[in-house]
Amino acid sequence: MEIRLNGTPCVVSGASLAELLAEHAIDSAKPGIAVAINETIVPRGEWKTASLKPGDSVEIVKPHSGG
Amino acid sequence: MSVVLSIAGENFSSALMAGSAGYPNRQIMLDALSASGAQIVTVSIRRVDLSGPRESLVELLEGKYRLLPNTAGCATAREAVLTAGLAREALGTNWIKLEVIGDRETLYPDVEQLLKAAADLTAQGFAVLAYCNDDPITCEKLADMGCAAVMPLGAPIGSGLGILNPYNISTICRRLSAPVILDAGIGTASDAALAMELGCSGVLLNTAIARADDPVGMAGAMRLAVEAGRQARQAGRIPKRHYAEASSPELGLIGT
Repeated sequence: MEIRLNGTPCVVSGASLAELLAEHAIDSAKPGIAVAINETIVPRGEWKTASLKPGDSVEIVKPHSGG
Repeated sequence: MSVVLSIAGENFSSALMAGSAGYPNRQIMLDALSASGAQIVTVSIRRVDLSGPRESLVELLEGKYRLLPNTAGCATAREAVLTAGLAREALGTNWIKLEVIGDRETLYPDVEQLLKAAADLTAQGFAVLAYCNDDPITCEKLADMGCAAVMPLGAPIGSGLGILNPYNISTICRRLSAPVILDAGIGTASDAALAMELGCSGVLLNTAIARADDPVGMAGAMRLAVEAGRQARQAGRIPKRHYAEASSPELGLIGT
């Protein structure tokens, strides 16, 4: 199914956020990462259970250099 | 440790806050931050590069510095509030440097959206350090709604122009009981010293150090400047006069 991941269209095999994160080697045990689906933040505790629908927009962000 | 700055119930022995952007390389960034004596370091929140290497700024800085995420790049209250929420999730802190930018050329805040975002975030329990223009009215509004610090610019971000309106900064410092942090436009050490002499509780700068010819050298200079400015302020300067007043005594002059 097609979603948007960090601004880019992307085809995912499953419908779960956990699978998507695993596919991109995002380790939920490591701090410093945050996730939003359709501009709603998904708390870390819900990463395992959150699901994806076609057309969802997912943002995976981290701290970067800044002033 | 002598406390020189308190923000949102946390105490610091340095009044200098530094940014993490624009250094020639990571090692110089680390060396400069160390030389600056800063205890608070700002970071931005950006997309993970899913195809690239996963280096972690957080791993380099966490434990040594109190990280302050910003909402740089946000142009609306909605974007800023979302970014603040993501920052809180990523870093586990409710501190946020709130930037809501109105125009890409000046990087001045969109005051209407800034006030909206600040009201929303303070209500949600964030400790908001609000980057704003040097308008005393806007600064008072931000302080009144409970921002943890108000951060007026001295000049546009990265411009190095120093403090363009010292009278406004002085007024802002006089009126607000919230900490006032001069944020943006600092170019060299004397600008940072002036900020403290005008009554600021602290100074936040990035470009002045990161893009100096010798970032580590400039970081050390900034550290001294902030300390000197603060000490001068506390020592109580002489007033400015339009006329001379001789310092040597007028009595006992030879030939009188």
